[in-house]
Amino acid sequence: MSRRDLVAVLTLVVVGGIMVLVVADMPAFGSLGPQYNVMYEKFTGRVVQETGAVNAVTGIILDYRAYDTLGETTVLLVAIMGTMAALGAGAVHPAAGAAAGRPLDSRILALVLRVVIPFTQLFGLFVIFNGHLSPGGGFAGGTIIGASLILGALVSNYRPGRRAEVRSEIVESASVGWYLLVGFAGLLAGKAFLSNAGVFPLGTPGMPFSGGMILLVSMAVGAKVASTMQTLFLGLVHGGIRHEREAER
Amino acid sequence: MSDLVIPGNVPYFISVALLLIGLYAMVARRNLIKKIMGLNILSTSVFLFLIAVADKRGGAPPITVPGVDLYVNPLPHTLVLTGIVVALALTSFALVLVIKIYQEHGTLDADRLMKL
Repeated sequence: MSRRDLVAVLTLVVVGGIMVLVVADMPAFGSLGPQYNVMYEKFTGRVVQETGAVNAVTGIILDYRAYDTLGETTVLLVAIMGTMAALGAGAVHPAAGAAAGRPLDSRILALVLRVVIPFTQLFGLFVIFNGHLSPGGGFAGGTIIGASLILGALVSNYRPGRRAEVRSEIVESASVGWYLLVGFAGLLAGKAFLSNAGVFPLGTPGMPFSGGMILLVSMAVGAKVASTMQTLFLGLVHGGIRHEREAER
Repeated sequence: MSDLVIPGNVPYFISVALLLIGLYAMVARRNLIKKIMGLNILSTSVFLFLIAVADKRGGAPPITVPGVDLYVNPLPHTLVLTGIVVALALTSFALVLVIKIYQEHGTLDADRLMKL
């Protein structure tokens, strides 16, 4: 038994022991008593009144915690910046395209995905625009669209170029700007930054156009997440390809 | 301590097990990619734990419908979203560092990297 294994086993025993003791002492899963999970009573009902969103989760992340969500999009932005800085964006070898398309250069896959991708993207848009009415929202929908973009990049004889990357980077920055603009609308109306009720019309809860700024912010988050996934994927592929080319030389 | 045998706490124990699997991968594996996979398993266990904590037996999803009184707690769900974003950012940056390490040293073995 090497020293590493010993350290691993010791860590697992200590951490696992503490965790099991804590978890065993917790109230049973799904307890209903008045002392467990009382926060939900504060949210349900009030969320619909104050934010106009039927989906309480969306109402919380895009209204009560809209500032926090702005921070999350900033986290994504910083992740991209770090990734690109570490990979040295822009220095992609122009002849790297040949190596890229080869592994997935399948006619069947391309044909199937050409049919599947539009529906995937449509579903992603549905999830984004119904975030205040049904499960989903900007993050989930953006992930679906981002996955479809990655699938497309994988099968379409993909040639790493700067254009796709620059485009998704523009979308990414623009969506954060759009988010900020929506926030400043609150300031113009004499309310707090990113405030919803009283600045935007809340509409009738349960209708497609309700929830005030939630729809606007959801669009920003969706575009942001989709473009982030695409940029990260392209960046990682470029970094890997560059290495392959250097090894061949 | 008496709750240890009650199957009602099973989701919590599963998340602890996942956390330990992820931790083991992070500590004991020598391949850096496998360490990142362990990190992802670990963060997934945290998401599972938060979702499990939010549950109320028989509660509806937190989407307000007239006539339904009991909903699960929506707050942990929103915290999971934050966690997913952080995990994504962490994973992507870690993978980039792994690419860079491999480009520089030609190995992903943590032991060999330590000797450099």
